Amino acid sequence: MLAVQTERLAKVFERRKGRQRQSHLAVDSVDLAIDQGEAVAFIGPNGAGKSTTIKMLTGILHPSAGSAEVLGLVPWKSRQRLALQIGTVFGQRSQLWFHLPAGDTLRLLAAIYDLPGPLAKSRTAELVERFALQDLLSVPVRKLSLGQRMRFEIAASLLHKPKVLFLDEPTVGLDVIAKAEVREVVREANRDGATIFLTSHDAGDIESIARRAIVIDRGRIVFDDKVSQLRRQWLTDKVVELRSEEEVEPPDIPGVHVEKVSRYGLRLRFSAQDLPVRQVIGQLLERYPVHDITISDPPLESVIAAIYQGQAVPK
Amino acid sequence: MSGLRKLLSVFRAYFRSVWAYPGAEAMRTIFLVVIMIVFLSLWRTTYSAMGATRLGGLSLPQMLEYLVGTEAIVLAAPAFAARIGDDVRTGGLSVQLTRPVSYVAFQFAVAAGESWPRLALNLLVGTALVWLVTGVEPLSAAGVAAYLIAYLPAFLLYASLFLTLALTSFWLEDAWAITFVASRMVMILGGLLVPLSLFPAALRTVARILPLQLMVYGPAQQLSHPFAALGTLLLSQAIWLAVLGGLLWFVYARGVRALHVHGG
Repeated sequence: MLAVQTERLAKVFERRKGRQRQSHLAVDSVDLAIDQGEAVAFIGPNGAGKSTTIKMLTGILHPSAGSAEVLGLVPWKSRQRLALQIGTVFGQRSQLWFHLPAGDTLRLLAAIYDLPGPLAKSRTAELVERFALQDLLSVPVRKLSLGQRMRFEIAASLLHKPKVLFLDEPTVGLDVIAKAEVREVVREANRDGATIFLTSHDAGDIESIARRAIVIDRGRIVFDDKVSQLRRQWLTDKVVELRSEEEVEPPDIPGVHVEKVSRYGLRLRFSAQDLPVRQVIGQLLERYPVHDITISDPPLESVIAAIYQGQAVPK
Repeated sequence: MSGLRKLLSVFRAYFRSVWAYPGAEAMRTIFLVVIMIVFLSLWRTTYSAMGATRLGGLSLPQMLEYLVGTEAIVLAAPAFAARIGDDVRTGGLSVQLTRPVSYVAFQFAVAAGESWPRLALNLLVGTALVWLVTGVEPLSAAGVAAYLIAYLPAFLLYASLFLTLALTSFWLEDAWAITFVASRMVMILGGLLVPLSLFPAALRTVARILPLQLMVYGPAQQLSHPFAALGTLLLSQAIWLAVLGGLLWFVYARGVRALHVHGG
């Protein structure tokens, strides 16, 4: 059984403007097949249809067409049954009760998720230790910092050991350390067998959590492959960093863009589609007494920026 | 059974949360005291000016008991429109709907958790105030028992009606205006300020046809006339509960299908 499966899933929002009805196709014939235990990044620019898709997969929204199953259940028909098996973290919304002490919030969620008393206690203790929450249990949620709250949010979403974890911008607004903690915990949940379905604009989240990337743009899936392929296929650019034994002058090779020049170093960028790597490297080795040279793909941020700027879909 | 346990946990959590903001609760209580003092003075003046010992079948002490009963219910009433409207506008509804608990039942548990302690506090403060100001002896045990028996279905009726109205936020985003009008109708036709027995005949007929009086007037009457026509009251409440419950189920089923949960 697949963790997530959709066929031609679509959602049309209809709005009235005066007497006229306007339709907006938010999700357009999306086909997904995600195995249990996979960690998938579902990315795309704002308004691409990511959150609408997640809301259909969690049973919040009814689709306009197509079908979907999560863990063999139709989400919008079996929302409550499915809720027992999935966890959700919506980074910009809280699932905690702001007026309650954080510990009471976890106890309440354990009751809502039907965890028997002893199991609820042991699971809560495990997560409290894992997230170092001991000193915060008696603090009302409204008085927690954003980082502390997010640790509780993730702990709360893992309380019932969900088989699929839907994460919608889980690290938004967090500092570097809190982000690293959240990513580590999500990786750990994935190692324990949970399927991860992540949406994020943060390249760090995608690289450290997901192995597979699905890109959605204007409601349609435009890429579905490994994260490493995403980088290679979307931007064919290569970045060359060269360290010379002597002082350097920037080269003048047609098609090679000089990004940075220092006394002994250069950073160059070129399209591997237009210029063979071998040719560029050959010319550089001929021209400079090279001490060190590295060739790399552009950072994932550049790929994501390219996607958001509407660059062409890779062949 | 497990569903009931969940709802009990939600009820307990919200029951405790009422005391998380003591300042806000103190302000509610002060408001109740001010309102009660105004109405105490008004009714004492009315009885004295008319030279009446009974109005609408109620003596002055009974009238004051009645007012304590109605004010306690209305000032403890749950505020569904603000909560649900906020959930819809901010997208917080997406969190609520991904929990393994019925959204409607959850709202009832929240409402009970918040309203019942407030009702108890309102009754205590209102009774103490009447006692202090007028020297009228506190409510009878039988009256309070009958009042509480009638209050439970009255609360369910009120919650069903106002939750149904609040759920129109699923289409309108903000149901405040609708619920504001409805709450004023409850104040007027439900008998908050004046018992139905003092209404002009035509208005009394209209009020008796509508379910609003079953939410406020019905239970409050029991304070001064314990167990009088309680069976009839409970039967009427049960019939209206079936009607409003059905309407609530229908509106929720339609609303959740039409839902646009905001935000990315």
